[in-house]
Amino acid sequence: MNLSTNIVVTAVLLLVLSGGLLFPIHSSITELETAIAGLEDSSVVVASPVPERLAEVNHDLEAMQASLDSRGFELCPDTPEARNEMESLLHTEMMEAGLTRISMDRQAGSGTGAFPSFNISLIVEGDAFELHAFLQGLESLKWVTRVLKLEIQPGDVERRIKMQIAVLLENEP
Amino acid sequence: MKVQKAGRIGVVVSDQVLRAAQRVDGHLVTASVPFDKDLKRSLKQLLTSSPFVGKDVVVGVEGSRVLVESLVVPPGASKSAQAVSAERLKGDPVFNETNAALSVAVASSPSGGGPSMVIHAAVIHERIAQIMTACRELQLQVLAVEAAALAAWRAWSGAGLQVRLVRTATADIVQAGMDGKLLFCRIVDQPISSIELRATISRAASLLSTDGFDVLTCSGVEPEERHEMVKELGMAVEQPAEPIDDAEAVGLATDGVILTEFTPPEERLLRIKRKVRKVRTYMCGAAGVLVAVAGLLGYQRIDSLKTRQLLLEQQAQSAQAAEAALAAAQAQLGLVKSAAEHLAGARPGHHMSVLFSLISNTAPEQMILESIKVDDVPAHVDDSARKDKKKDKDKEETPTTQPRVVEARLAGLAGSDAAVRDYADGLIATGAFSDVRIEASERVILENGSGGERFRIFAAAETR
Repeated sequence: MNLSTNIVVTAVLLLVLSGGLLFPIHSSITELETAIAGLEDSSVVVASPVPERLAEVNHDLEAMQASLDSRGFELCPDTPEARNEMESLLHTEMMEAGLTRISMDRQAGSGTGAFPSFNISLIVEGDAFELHAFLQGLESLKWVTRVLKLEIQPGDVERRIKMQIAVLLENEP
Repeated sequence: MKVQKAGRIGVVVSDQVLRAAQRVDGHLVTASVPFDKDLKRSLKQLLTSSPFVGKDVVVGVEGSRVLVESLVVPPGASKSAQAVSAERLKGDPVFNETNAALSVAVASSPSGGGPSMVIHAAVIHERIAQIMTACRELQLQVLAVEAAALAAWRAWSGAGLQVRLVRTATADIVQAGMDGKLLFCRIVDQPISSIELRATISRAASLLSTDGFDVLTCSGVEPEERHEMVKELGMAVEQPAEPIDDAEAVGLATDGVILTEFTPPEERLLRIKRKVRKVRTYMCGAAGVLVAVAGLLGYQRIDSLKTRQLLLEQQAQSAQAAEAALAAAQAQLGLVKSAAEHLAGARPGHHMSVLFSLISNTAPEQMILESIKVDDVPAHVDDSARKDKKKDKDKEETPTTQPRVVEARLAGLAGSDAAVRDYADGLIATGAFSDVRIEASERVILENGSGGERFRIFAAAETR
């Protein structure tokens, strides 16, 4: 084997050896580049405005919650304790307004609109100012109520007043 | 550590002395030792006596163990130059085919068309073997073995046709040639007589087809002797540009064409193997460096790509987590909105206290409201209105907001019919009632005898 052949054989062997050594590196690089291209092309990574949107939604949520909290009224929980408390509140309002309680009955309500409710029938005696004060007090209660019936019977200054008040109860929206 | 730029070592092996020369960093290093039969020892002594660099040597043979001759082969000769040389030495007691190796250098006449000039040299096999054994034992790389006398031509360069006289310890060598090519060589015992020198120069001129030479360049000749030569030869006698004491050793140490080589075939094979090994070493080294660099760059690239992949994966995970958080937040927002709308729809669209206040405060002084009956009932919506409302149902009406109406039935006693109408107008003017109707109004006589107007008014306020 002459010099040229020897050199050629050596060169080929070195080429094969170098290729054998470098091919795994090349394969790794190709594999990683493919994986990275896949990740870069995926819609998840592409400059998503999610953080900005999330911040907006959280802001809206906080604003909405704050608005809800600032309303100062809510629906009465559908529990015996809450119903009793409501009756107590009504009684207190009556006393504060100066009305004279004749009777107070609690009845199951048929619902007001889309809301379940329970009704309280009141018969009281008092003048127009006391009634007005009672109605204002009723409207300032934390729980939502609705005067379904109001009947002022004939009389002098002190009149007999019949009222049917619906207390709206919580239900799932 | 300073790396010295050194050429090969030219070693002249003669009968009684060993000489060597080498160019190291542009300077000439020379040495000379006696040859005492033990070539290896003498050679080792020679190479250690001066600061020679490396192991590459070109060995030149001089003295009784070598024969150098110039021949002329006329054009059209029946035998080749090689055959002529072999024929010339046939029957020689010393340099015959059995005892000596023959090497022939052939050159055509400088004028062209003339006879071929042949320089042949023969070296005794025994001396070649002796040299190779010594060199091998001293681990010297023998690049070539040649006749030292012929190598002297390479000692210095010249242009055009030249004739030279090289004086060694035992012989005078007359050489002639053109540029770097030696075409004629004759070795005679020194000192050569002027007559013989003139004759030799004339013969050389004749062989080289020239009328004569203008200058004789001499090496190893004393200045006085050169002056005498000038007188006797009638031509200029000069020294080489760089004075050279041992032209043979310097010639061996100088790169150039080797006319007659006596390197044994096995040594040539070893030389090729050494060259192959050297080239392989360089190639492997270069390939190793390239692979190492490529590998390093490759691993750096892999590292960089892995970092990027990790970053992208983390970004993807973050994005997915943010998407999930967004979905959860949107769901919660929907719930809160729904709860807010639900709660907003639960509250009556009116204040009963305000309605009552409007009803009672709008009444004139001369009016007595005997009874008031207020009913908060669902509104009756006719079909056409329902259809119209259905279109805007999604936009304006939530399931929790349903239209209702507050119906107030007022009965009382007023001073006059006009007061009743004024009261009804007043109720409308409040803007709270959409419908106010006087259902009944009749003149009555009161107990005190005065007249009055008994009335019934229906008022409706739309709400939700």
